[in-house]
Order: sequence, then structure tokens, then C-alpha cells
Amino acid sequence: MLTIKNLKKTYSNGVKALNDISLDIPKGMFGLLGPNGAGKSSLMRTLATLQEPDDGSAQLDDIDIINNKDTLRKVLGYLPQEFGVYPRVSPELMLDHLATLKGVTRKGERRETVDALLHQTNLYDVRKKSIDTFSGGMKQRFGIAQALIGEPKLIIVDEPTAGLDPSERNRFHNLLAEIGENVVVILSTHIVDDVSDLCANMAIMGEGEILLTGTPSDVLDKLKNKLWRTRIKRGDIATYRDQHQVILSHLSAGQTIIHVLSDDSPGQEFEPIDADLEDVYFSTLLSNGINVSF
Amino acid sequence: MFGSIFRFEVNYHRRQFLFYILCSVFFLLTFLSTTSDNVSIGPTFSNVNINAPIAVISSLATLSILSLFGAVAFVANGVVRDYDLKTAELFLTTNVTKFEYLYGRFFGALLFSFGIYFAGLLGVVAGEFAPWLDQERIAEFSWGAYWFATWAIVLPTLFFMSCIFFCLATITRSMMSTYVAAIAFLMMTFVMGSFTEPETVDLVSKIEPFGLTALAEQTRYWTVFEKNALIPTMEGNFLINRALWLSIGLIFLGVAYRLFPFSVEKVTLGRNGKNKVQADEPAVPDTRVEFSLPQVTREFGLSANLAQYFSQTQLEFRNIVFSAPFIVLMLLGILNVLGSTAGSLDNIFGTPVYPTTGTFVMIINGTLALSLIGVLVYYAGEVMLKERAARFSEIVDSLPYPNWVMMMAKLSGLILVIISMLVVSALAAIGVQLYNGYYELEILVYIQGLLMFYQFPLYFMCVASIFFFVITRSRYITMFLIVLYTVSLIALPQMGFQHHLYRMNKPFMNYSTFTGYTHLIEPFLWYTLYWSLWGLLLMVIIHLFWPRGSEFTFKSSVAVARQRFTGSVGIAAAVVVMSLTATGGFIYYNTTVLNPYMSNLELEEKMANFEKTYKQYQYQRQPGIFSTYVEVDIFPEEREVFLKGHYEMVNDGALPIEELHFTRAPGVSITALEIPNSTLELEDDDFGFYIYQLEQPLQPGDKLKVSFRTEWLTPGFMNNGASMKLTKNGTFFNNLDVFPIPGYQSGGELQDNAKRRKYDLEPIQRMRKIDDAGALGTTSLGGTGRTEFEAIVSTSRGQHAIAPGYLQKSWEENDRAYFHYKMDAPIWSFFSFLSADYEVQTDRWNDIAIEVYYKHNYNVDRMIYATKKSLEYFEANFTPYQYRQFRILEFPGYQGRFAQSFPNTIPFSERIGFVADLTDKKDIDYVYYVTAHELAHQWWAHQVLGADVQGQTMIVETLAQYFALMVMKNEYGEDTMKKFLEFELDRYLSSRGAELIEELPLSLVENQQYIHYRKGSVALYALQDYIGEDVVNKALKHFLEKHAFQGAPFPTTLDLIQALRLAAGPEHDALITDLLEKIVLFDLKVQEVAVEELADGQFEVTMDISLAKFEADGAGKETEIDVNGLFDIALLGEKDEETDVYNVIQISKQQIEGNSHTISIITGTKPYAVGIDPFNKLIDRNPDDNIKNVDS
Repeated sequence: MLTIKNLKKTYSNGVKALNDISLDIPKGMFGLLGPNGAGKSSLMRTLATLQEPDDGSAQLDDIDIINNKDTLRKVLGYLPQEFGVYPRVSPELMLDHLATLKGVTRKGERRETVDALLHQTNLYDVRKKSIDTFSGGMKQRFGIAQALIGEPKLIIVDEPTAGLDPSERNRFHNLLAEIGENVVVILSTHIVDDVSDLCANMAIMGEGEILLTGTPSDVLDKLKNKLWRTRIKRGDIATYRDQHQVILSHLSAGQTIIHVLSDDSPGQEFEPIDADLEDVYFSTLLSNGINVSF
Repeated sequence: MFGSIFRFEVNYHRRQFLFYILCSVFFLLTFLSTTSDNVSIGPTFSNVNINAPIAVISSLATLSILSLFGAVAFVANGVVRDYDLKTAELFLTTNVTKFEYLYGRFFGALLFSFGIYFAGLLGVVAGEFAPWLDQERIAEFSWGAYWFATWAIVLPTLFFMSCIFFCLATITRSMMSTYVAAIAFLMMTFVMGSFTEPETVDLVSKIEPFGLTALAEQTRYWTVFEKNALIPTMEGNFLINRALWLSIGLIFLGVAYRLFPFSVEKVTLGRNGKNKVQADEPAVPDTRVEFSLPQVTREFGLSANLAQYFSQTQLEFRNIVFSAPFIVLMLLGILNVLGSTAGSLDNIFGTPVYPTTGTFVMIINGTLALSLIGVLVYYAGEVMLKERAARFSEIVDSLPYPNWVMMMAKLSGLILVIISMLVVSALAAIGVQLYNGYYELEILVYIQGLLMFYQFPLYFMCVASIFFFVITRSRYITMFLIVLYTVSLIALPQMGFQHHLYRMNKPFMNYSTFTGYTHLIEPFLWYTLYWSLWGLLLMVIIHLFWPRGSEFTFKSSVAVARQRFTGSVGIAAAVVVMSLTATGGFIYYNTTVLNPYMSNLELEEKMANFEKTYKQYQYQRQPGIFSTYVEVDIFPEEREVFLKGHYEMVNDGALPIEELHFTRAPGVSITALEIPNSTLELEDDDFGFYIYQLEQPLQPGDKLKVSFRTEWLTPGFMNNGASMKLTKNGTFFNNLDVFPIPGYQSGGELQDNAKRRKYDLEPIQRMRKIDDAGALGTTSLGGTGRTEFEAIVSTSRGQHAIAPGYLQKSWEENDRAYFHYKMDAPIWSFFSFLSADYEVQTDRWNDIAIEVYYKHNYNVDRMIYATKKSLEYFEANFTPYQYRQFRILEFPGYQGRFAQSFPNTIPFSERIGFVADLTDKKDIDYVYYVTAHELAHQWWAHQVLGADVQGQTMIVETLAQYFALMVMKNEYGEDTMKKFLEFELDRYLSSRGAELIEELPLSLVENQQYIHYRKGSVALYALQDYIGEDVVNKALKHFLEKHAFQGAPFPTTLDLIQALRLAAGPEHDALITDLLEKIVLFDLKVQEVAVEELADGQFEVTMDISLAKFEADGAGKETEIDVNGLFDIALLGEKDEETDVYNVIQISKQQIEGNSHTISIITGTKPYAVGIDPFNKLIDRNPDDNIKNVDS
């Protein structure tokens, strides 16, 4: 159980990255949704001991994350949003080195772990190649492999699927789902489907605050019978926006489709639809005055 | 479009801080170097005007080396920037052409590299007008030198270098590779710059990229006057050099255009992009979801930390060692080492020394120093930023290792890189040793010398660099700070800050086969401990501020540091600070309380004050010593000397003496000085000056006995400058070091007139005038007469102690060895004392015993042979050798590279012959020469010593040179002398420009080495060539017979020249005047030569020669005078393969008048070359053009 209380962080340029964040995160996959600049990465980095909060606390079971970074690092697996690799180093060598740094000091065990990880992430065949020749997906799998070394109790993955093609993303999800059963896994993303596919619990962040928490089904309930859809001409969107609470628009076969939030039917051209997480996401942002351009 | 790209580039750089920073740095640098003695860029010229053209040009030319990095920064940036900032697509998709894009950038950037140079130039101009300058050294302002430096040197250099680096940047698209190339370029230049010998300088002048060698070649023989007045000209090698490099630059500029792809692709040379192959995605469709990892044990204790440390260190090391810049720097370093070791370092007259490990350690440390600092400057930032640069830091930073693991790993990585460079260099050096058939490898000396003694400061710098980075978090500021730190190590002493308590630089370490590093190890270890503690303290700070995480604000760093400042860190810091204080205190006690600590500036001031206070007594007559008895107890292990003895003195002057004055060397204390019926009137322990008032004046002819005891102790250790005269094995000192010496000693006066002006001292008087009748009663060895000498010298058992005189008796007592020496005839008051565990080789020539006490036996036989040949020649032609024994004693090389002649005793440095490698017959046998020269001093000094006036050193040194030259000529033949005389001539001509006061003719020489040795050799050789060896010998024999062992008045060069004139006859008067009494130079040249085969099979050789003759004044201003005299005209065959000496077909002297002449000779053999004065007997400003090959 990860307990976050009143975490605050203001950057030197005045941006409030974390504005009094409190969250309880149970075991299992936890999805953290939010647009760019919502403070997801700041939160993740704070939990990954990479950044100091101005105030507040964070506790994993009985480990004080803020003041006892060294202890937390022993049970942490972290995959940052974006990472690179050293030139001319193979995944095998690098995993072996990282395993050493993670305290897997017995050579035999380390070897087995590295081999197992390479197999699990399907990198075994390329284990001797240099990582800097890897494709985005392979690199990402290497990233998850390193995060899994040493049976971490807290796994933080920041935007893991950005830049992956659908099959890679799928494979990645399978892996995450598998390991997410017994430990706390925090997955930050701005891709709504990642969360709906994987997470038992979730939160939506915006402008440094937690806007919404719950299970995906709980949050979907909030929009039950309130969501309407219609097709409009592209030029008409401004008019609709003036008249209705438009939470989302997208193109479909050249036509613009908008989703509108309303307790009653907003008009005859509208049809009621079941909300998905994306609607929840956008409506939450919108109701908090966060303008996501569309 | 070109214009707009150009303007864009200009506007870009105009807005960058870099330009303004570099401008101000350059301005300040040149301003300070012009206006302060304590800062200098390039060579210093303390003897010419501050704004002498050569001084201005040298500073500006040196500036062009520094501008190199500016040029790289601007020009390479122009091409690399778009790729780094990923803006290339934006530009490349506009309608700008490749030509406009590339050259617009180039010229825009070039403008700025010119700009920073002009800032430097303004610094010099402004400096000239600084009001605090020594106005005597400021001439009227003139633009000439600036014009030349700018257009002939700096702008061409900057242009072609910009072209080259622009091209490299275009190809590599990497600033770093371009910088590495720039460093490589610099190192190459420095290597070239070290080839200054006449035989290589011609080639190097043509190709050395900065043109500095060409400039040096052109001004090599410039005198002080010429340096103040002349501006170099664009001709000869200088012109070739500039043209060559400008063409190379243009080629590179063209190549850049050809290779620039004008797209975002990388330039590929040949391998068409195959270097970037993507790893293949395994084709197995993977939907597996079962996930399991083996159970592992995780440990986080110390042993786990060590495992982490080793793993990380490996990674760091691997990462550097396999990177291209390192490999380039390493290869260059090794090439440098190979070049220096295989080549010409530490040699004399072009003859190499045996490749001893001690020598190689010195060479490697010298040549590698720059590369090592370069590696450090570059890689300190690199290792610290490696994770961040690879964007891997967030992963690594969140791993469970303590900070010290990463810190130590990075530090170890850096240090390992340095060590690996040294180890590889050592292996290269060992290769050279083995290749030369030298098998005494002394691996331990390599390890000590390369990895410990010299490199410790560098290890400390590694810590400091990491500290700089951790505090500044900027790679470039770190680089800047490392450079600043390095410069400060050099600059601080110039400003009077020399203590190693605040300046960690190479402690003074010196190796000799005698005792290794001897007593220098102890202070080294203390300083090492002290600075290691500083290192630890820095590491504590580094630990607290170790960058971990993604945020680097001051606030968060402080917050994190607070968290990390735990009790144990606090205790560790406290322990380090306490140990540091204790060690620092101990060092301070040793260096500043037990021993005097004085900076150069303080020392200078003290010298000035000593002179101001006591010079008044310089010529106050003191009684002469006629008998000396001493007991000298040498304690080599303790490095102490105790002296007990007495002088018997007599008033040998005409007036009564009321006061006795004594001085003693610094560091020696006089524990007792007893003069009957006298009172100590002045006791100045600071300056070491003592005045005793006699109750009754000592009347002429009256005698008195002075008993004394002195102690020369070496308590603790010193900051630097610990005497190398006392060592555990290999002691060598003389009486001036430890005896009370009567009268004022002028040896401690400041010699540089510019410095003297600073302290309001009169210009230095090096010697009294030759016509100073009052001076004729004293000799250069201070005394007024000779003394009987008897000494009992004791040393540790197992060592052999030697003093002048014959060994009367030796015995052992109380575990010490005693040696009783006594000389059977009076000698000058100048005695040497040596002690070491020597090997001895003995021999004999007639009744004279020859003994060599040595450590190295390579050339002992040669020395004995030289001794025999010299004794034979000297006794046959001059007067008998006055002793029945002749001893040569090797002493450790760190005391200097010289030999010195005491009665029947020659201390001879390990480095001036004992390790010379004489296997190559082409090389000059300087062991033979030095032995002969020193033996000759038994005549010239110990039989006849001149009065202490101008010309004195001509009698002692020039005549000893003459003796040695004659013995060499006898042994090797007349034709081989050219090589030796060429060296002597070159040294003479190139030293004239360094004259501090005034060049004098040989007969009036004021202890000027380049005159009494170098010019003396050439002049005396010419003299015997012109008037005959036997004639000169006869004159010298008469001179010796007349003056040998005589008391005052002592002879001067007036007597000597009179003797020579008498023997030579009036027809040689003019020649003797030219050679000995004037500064006369020639410029002789074979302009053309033609050979025609005659009908009878003979050849007619016709040569056009040009002749010019000059007389120079003391400042070096030359006036042309008429040519009328005898000149060697020679027909030469090819050079002998073995000795590299011309075979002479015919040589004869011809009387020639006027500035040009055509000579026609009929000969039976077709000559290979012809020459006028081909063997450089005359002093010729251009000695290389005296011989011209016949075109075949």
C-alpha cells in the first residue's frame, strides 16, 4: 500500500507541479492519467526518489520515501518516461551490471535473473547486440526488464507505451498485467486505453492536482446516461461549443463527431452513448477548467 | 542568400556570451602579460624592450595557439549546431544553396575567431601604455610588429585552421571530435617545436603549422639590438610555411564542400551507412503471459557495495577506453613518448644517453603531462555526464547503491584511464629500451616514478574535477575550472605563492641511480597524506551534493545534502578535518618553522637587501688563508655535516686590517668562531654575515689563526628546494657550502638589471674592469693566495669519502669510515667533499695514478683513455701535471649536469658522460671532450688563475676548451671538428640575443658562458688554424711557465694576448684583434659553382663566393667593415658513411679582398661540393651556406 499525503512541489519558474496531492494506492496496477504538464512525471519522480517535494509525505508500507530514499530504492523498479542507453553496450551486460547495482551480488543468481528477464522480454536472441541499435519497442522492453530486477515492491512506469506500435504495446501490457498482481504498479500515461485495459484503480491528474480517483467502473458510472453524441460539420464546432458542454471531438470518416455532456438530451440530432474512460478523462479535465485543445 | 546566411551567422555569434567571454579573456591575458612580469604568454624577453617587435610578435603568435580553440568553437559550431539542435531540416528545406549555406556559415564564424584575436591585440597595445611599466624598456610605439604578426602569422593561421576544423566538423558533425583533432594538432605542433637543433629546424620551419618555428629560425641569431629594432620578413622558410598551410586550408575548405551532403544524413566515407544496422526483431509472435523470475538473494552490505563499485568502475573504464577521443589521445601520447625517447632528449652535442629507466620516467612524465591533463579536462565532464547524456540517469539514480559507490567508481574510472595511459607509455618505453639492447628495465622505478611520485597531483585533480562538476553542474564550467586550476599551479609561484599547503603540484622529485628518490620521499609522503585528506574532504562534500535525481536547483540540492548529512558523515568529516589540520600543522612546522619558507619574490627581496646592507664591504681587504685544516664529519643517512677546523691567515696586503668579515651559506650555522683578541661586532644570522673587530689591527705580514665549527643540519623537510647536495648516498658539496668564508660574497646578487631597477640597485657589475689595478691581487676563487690543505673526512661505513689531496690514511672507528687527505703543495681555497659507495677502477699513466669512482661503468674506460691522451698532449706541449694522481668521481645527476675541477679531483655528473651512449661513431664523443676539458683545468685554474677582472674566464675556460679541442683534434682528426664547432658556433650565435647586459669581446668576457666556452672554442680553433697549433702552444707554454703557481699580481688577458702576439708575429696582429679583442662576424657564402672537365681529364672548378664582414657593438648592432684576409677554400668529396664527415680533396687558405670573388681551381678529382671556410672556423652568421654541392 502506497500512501501519499499532501505532496507539494513548486518549481523555481513558479509552476505548481504538485499541488497538495494525497492518494492511497493499493497493490495492483494503478493508472495515472493526465495531459502533458499535469504533474504526473513530477509525482512519479518524487516517488522514484529522484526529486524532493517541498512538503508532504509518501509512504510505501513502512518505508518513508522522502526521507529514507536508500531503503525505498531497494524495493523500487522504475522505468522513466524517456530513457536512452550507453553506446556499445549489450542488454546482457547492462542488465548484469544493473542487477549488481540492485544488490543481486551472487553471480549465478544474477546470471539466471538476467537470462530469465531476457527471455521474458523476448530479447534473448539479441542479448549480445548493442542496445543503441534497438527499435523503440525493444528498447522499451529492455526498460521494463531492468525495472523488474530484484523483485521490486513498487514499480513505477512513466508513459511506457508512447511510441510503441500496437503489437508491441499489447505485448507490453501483457507483461505489466502479469507482474502487477502482487506489488504496487503505478502506470502514468496520457493514453486512456492503457488504463482501461490494465488498471484496477486509477486517478486523473491535471495542473498538479488529483481530479478524480476510483476504479474504472466507478468513474464510468458518473457519466452514466449523461453522454450524447452527434456528427456535425467541421465548421460548426464553435457553435456547438457555445451551446453545449462539448467534452470531446474527433474525426471519423471525414466527419466530426462530438461528445456532449448533458443530464437531458441536448437535441434530436444527438444520440445517447455509453461513456468510456476517454469521456471521463476529458470531462474531468473540462470540469476542472483545464482546456485540452481539440 | 550568401549575405543573409552570413548575417545570420554573425547575428547568432553576436548574441552568444562565448564571444564576449573569450574577448575579455584574451584582452586581459595579453594586457597582463605585457604589463606584468608575473604573467607571460609565449617566451619572455627580459633583456629587450617590453614592446620590442619580437616581444609583440611572440605574444601575438602565441595567442594564435590559444585562438585555435576559439576558432573551433565558432567555426565548427556553425556546422554542428543545426544537427545538434535538430534544426537542420528547417534550413535544408529552404531554397538556400549548399555553397551559400556552407560558406556563409564559415565566413560568418571566421569573423568571430578573428575578433577574439583582435581583442588580444588591443590588450598588447593598451599594455604598452600602462604607466607603471619600466619606462627604460619602452620604445616609441609602432604598428609594424602588429601589422606583421596579424597579416603574416595570426590571420593566416586562424584562417587555415578554421578551414581544417570546419571540414572536420562537417565530416564528423561532432564538436568533441573536432576539439580532439584540435588537441591532436596542438600536440603535434609541440612535438615539432621541440626539434630546435640546426639540422632539423629547417624542415620543421617549413611544416610547423603555427609558423613559430619558422619565426624562431629567422630570429635565432638576432642580437638584443636586432630584437629591439627589426621586424621579421616574409621570406625563406617562413614564406614557404605560410603558403603551404594556406593551400592546405583551401584544400580542406574545398573538401568540406565536396563532402557536405546538404541533407540530414551523416557523412559516410566508403562504408555507405552500414555502421548503423538495426538489431533484428525476433520474428516469434509473443503472446506469452506467464511470468516468473528466479528467486534471488539481495544484499546491501559493504561487500555488495564493493561489488557494485567494481561493476560500475569497469563500466566507466570501458566507456572511456573504447571511445574514439581517448584512443586518439592515447596514440598521440604514445607517439610523443616514442618520439622523445627514441630521439634527442637529455643529450649533449647531439649524442644520446643510454635509455636508462630514470631518464625515461622523466621523459614520459614531461611529454605526457599535457595529454593527461587533456584527458582529464575532457573526461571529467564526460564521466559525470555519461548517464545524463545517455538519458539513462533516472534509471541509475533510483537504484539502491550508496552515493560513494558511484562517486568512487567515477573517480576510479578517471584514475584508471590516466594509469592505463602511463602503463601503455611505459610499455612503449620498455620497447624502446629492449630495441636498443638495454635490459636493466627497473620496473619498480617505472611504477614509482610514473604511477606514484609524479602523478599524485593528477589523482588529486581527478577528485577536484569531480568536485568542480558536482558544485557547478556544468561540464564547461568544470573544464574551465580545471584549466584555471592547472594554470594557477604554474602562475601562483610567479606571484609569490609557492607553498604546497595551498598548491598541489608536482612535488620536487628527482631520481638518480645513486639513491633513488632519496630524502625527497619523506616530504612527498607527507604532502600526499595532506592532499589525500583534502581529497577526502572534497569527497565528503561531493557525497553530500552528489547529483542524483532529476532536479538541480540550489534549494533542492541543499535539502538533499541536509538529509545526507547524517551523524556518521559528520563524524567522518570531523575526523578528516582534524587529521587535515594535524597533518597541515606538521607540514607547516617542518617547512616554515624548522626550515625557512620563502617565495621567489621574498627571496629576490632578501637578495636585494643583503646587497644593500653588505656590498659596502665587498672590496675591504681581508687576510689571506695560507693554511686550512678541517675535520669534516658527513652523516649521509641523516644528511648532516659537522665541521671543525681552522684557518691560518696572513695580512698579505699593504695596509693594516681592523675587521674580519665572514659569511656562510644559508642553512649552515656557525657554532663557534674563535679569533684571538677580537670582539664580535656584528652578528647577522639572518643574512649570515659576521664582523669581528680586532683589538689590535693586523699589520701587513702578521698572521692569525681562526678556529671554527659549523653545522649543516637538515631538520624536518622543506617546502621545496631541499638541498640535493646531501643525500643518503651521493654527497657532494664544496667549502662554500659549509665553511665560514672570509669577506662579502657577490654570488648572491640579483643579476637581472630590470629586477635590480625594481629594488633601486645600481646596474650589475659582473666583473671589475681589466685595467682596475686594485683588482689584480685577487683571483676569481676569492682568495689572494693559495693555502695548504689537510682534511680528515668521515662518513658512514661502506661509503668512500673523498677530498682534494692525497690519502694519508684511512681507518674505521665507531662504525664510521675515516679518510685523511693532505695536499703536498698549496692550492686555491676551493675544496670538494664527496661520499658514496663507489666502485673504483684504477690505471696509471707514467707515474700518475688514474682513478675513477663510479656507479655507471659504460664510459669509465673512455674516461681513463681520455685522461691518458690528454696528459700525454698537455705534458708534451706545455708544463708537467703538478700532481701524481688524477681522480674522476661520479656524482648524482640531480645535482646538475656539469663536471668541476678541483686539485687532482674531478666530480663528474652522472648525466654529463657516465650514461652517454657513444656507440654511434657519427656522434660527438663528449665524454672524451669533457674529461680533457676538466683535466685541462688542472693547468688553467690550478696552475694559472687570472686576476678577478674582465677576461678572467677566458684564461680559465677558453684555454681549457682549447686544450680539449686539441686533444680531440689529435684523436679524431681535423675534419671531424666541424661537427663540434658547428654546435659551439650555433650556441654562441643563438645566445647573443639572450644577453642581459652587454656582449663583450672574448678578451673582456665577464663570466659569460656563451662567450668563454662557445665563442672561445671557435676563436681559439681558428687562431691555431691560422697561426699554427705549435705557435699557439708555444705561447701558452710561455704564459704558463711565467705565471704558474705565482702569487699576486695575477695575470689578465692582456698578458695572454701579448704572449700570443709575440709568438704569432706582427702579420697576425689583425687576426688576433678580430678574434679576441673585437666582436667580428662574417657572412661567407658560395653563390655559384661550376665544374668543367678539361681535355687532359682534369677538372676546372669555378666558384663565385660572396663575403661580408661585420663588427658588432655590445648591444649587437652590426656595422659592415672591409673584407681582407685569409679564407679556407676547399674542394670536398662525399661524406664518409661511418663518421658523416666530408672527405677533403683539397683545402687551402687564400687571401681575399672585397665582397665578392671568383675562384678557379684545376683539380684531378671531381669534387662533390665546394666551400669557403667549410669547417666553420670563422664566426659566420649563416654557417649553412658555406658549402655548396656541385650539380652533377
